[in-house]
Amino acid sequence: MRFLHVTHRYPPSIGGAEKYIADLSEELVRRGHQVDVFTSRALDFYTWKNELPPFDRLNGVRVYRFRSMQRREWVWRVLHFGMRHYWPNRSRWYEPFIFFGGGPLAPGMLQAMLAQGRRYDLIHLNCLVYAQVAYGYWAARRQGVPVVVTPHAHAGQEVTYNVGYQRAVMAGCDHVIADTAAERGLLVDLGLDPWRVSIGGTGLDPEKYTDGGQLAARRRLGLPDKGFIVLFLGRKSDYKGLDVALDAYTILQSQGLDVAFLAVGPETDCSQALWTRHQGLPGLHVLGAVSDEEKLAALAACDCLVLPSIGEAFGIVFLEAWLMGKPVIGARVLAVSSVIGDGRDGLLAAPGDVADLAACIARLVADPELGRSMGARGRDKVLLRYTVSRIADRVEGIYLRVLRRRQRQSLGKEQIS
Amino acid sequence: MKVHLVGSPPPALLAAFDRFRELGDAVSCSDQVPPEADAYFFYGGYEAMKQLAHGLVILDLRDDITLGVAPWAPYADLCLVRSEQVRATLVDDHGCEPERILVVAEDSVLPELVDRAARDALPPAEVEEKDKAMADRVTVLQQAEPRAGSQTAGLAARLEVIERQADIMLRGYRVRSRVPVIGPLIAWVRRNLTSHLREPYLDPILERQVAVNRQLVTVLRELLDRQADLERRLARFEEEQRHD
Repeated sequence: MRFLHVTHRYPPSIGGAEKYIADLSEELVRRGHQVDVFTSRALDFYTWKNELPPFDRLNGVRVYRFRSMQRREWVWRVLHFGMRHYWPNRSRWYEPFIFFGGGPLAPGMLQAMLAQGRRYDLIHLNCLVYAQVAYGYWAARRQGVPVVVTPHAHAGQEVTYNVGYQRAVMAGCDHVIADTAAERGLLVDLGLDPWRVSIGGTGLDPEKYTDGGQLAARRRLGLPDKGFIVLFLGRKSDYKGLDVALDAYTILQSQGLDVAFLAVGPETDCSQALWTRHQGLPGLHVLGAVSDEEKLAALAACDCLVLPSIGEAFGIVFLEAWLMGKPVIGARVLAVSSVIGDGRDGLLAAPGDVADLAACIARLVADPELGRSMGARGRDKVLLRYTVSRIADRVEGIYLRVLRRRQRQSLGKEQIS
Repeated sequence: MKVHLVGSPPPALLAAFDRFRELGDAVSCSDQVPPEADAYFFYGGYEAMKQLAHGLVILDLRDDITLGVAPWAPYADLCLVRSEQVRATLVDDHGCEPERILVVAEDSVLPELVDRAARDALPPAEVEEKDKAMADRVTVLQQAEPRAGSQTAGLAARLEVIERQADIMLRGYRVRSRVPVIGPLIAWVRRNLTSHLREPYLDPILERQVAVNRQLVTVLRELLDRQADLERRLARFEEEQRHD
């Protein structure tokens, strides 16, 4: 079958939604389908700068990249104007500002979809917060091609799913693919038909997660051979909860526990301010953006992963830790709660509650066997539910269900006429 | 309707398909997937499931205790199971949506179920789910239904809700317009067009209604207190009678 995936960015651009669509596209190609991708030429969504080539063939996937309008300062202002005025009254007058300011606006992509859309059996739109989903949906509907959407809705960030035109797109699509059970519940509560909302999720390739030994990994990263190491892995943005994790670590230090803290991920203004505040904190190790090998080493070196983020749509990093056999601690927010089984394969701390987070870490420090068993159970869970192959099964199944429903509906109409 | 069974259905399940025949449906069975069927029942994992872009695909797990075929569930429009426990396992461990998994207690409902699913009409399980979801969203008034054995407590809870709802005025309401730039002008015009009705007539009438509502709540509360007192006395009396 022939599928068209429409997304805001595609690797080599980095990001969870980008990885999701790339893994899915490649796996479907491996299964004998033809998958084309329409995307922007941008590497980063701050500027939508056209940096990447117009065409690539990546692991069998044909990637067509289209020029998009760059997001300059005034475009950001348009977005902020729209957001500021939209939320108090949810007036649809301000929706165009959000659509325009969000981007990527690629007229070439719309034109190509209108010209080529009918060649595909199904169109899959990725990442609802960006504009290509709205005009991609419109083009798909005009062509009469079945269309599904993966919104990647963040429960705490309404702008990712609850702007009027976003809701209209989800309501009009043949199927909506949520990342987690919690996200599915959220979308059903918005009024979507439960029969048309399924759980997809994000998957990993277990073969890429091989543990070279904790000691070797610690030496490679210059970490102490002994002691309990807490890992924070992710972009150091404010909503990720690095400040909460550091405060919890400070409490553990004051209790005299043999603990070290390793923070890995791209720096932000927010994290720079934190390092200034926590300067001289014993046992604190900081790494910026790292390669995949270094990331694996960090996961192998640690004893538990802590990510008290309050803005995750899924939290793929939890799966990565589990595949390395490590227990995880997250914040008790909607999306994370449906990924981590509290007390089974990880622990959940109250969002923003430093003392609760410190208590969770202390529990794992005191009982290493508990941590190991949680890590093992987490690994089993990933292998059962969150491999790329399993996710592709689910999405491929959804595509087929959509096509069958379309066929049944057209058959019903023929019978009536 | 043409129904085709793919694989080897256990003999105990075959009887269920007699009902299809009685209703005039054609039922066939083989390891192959014929192109012309309207509904396919699968009894095992078959690659053909991954290519079926027509009809209705049903994974029949009614006799599958080990759930070895469960990984094929994403490809099916419906999964049939025997118990809520199996359904929960499919939801929790395999990430299936609860609506697609139907607990079939009686085989005689199968034809109707397949017919409804083929027409994309909600099958019974979904109706129940929707009813449940609806029940969860009912008003606070209904949430305060009396619990068994505690009628007075239930009535008291409902009365509290009524008390909260006694003030029917929209006190926080302000005429406004969402239209950019000329919005304030539109709001001003609307305010001035309605104020001559609202201020001398509507508001006083509604305020009187609020006063009546509050008095009613007071009376009801007194009655409820008396009823509670009577219930206590009755219970004490019954207790004494039992001892005598």
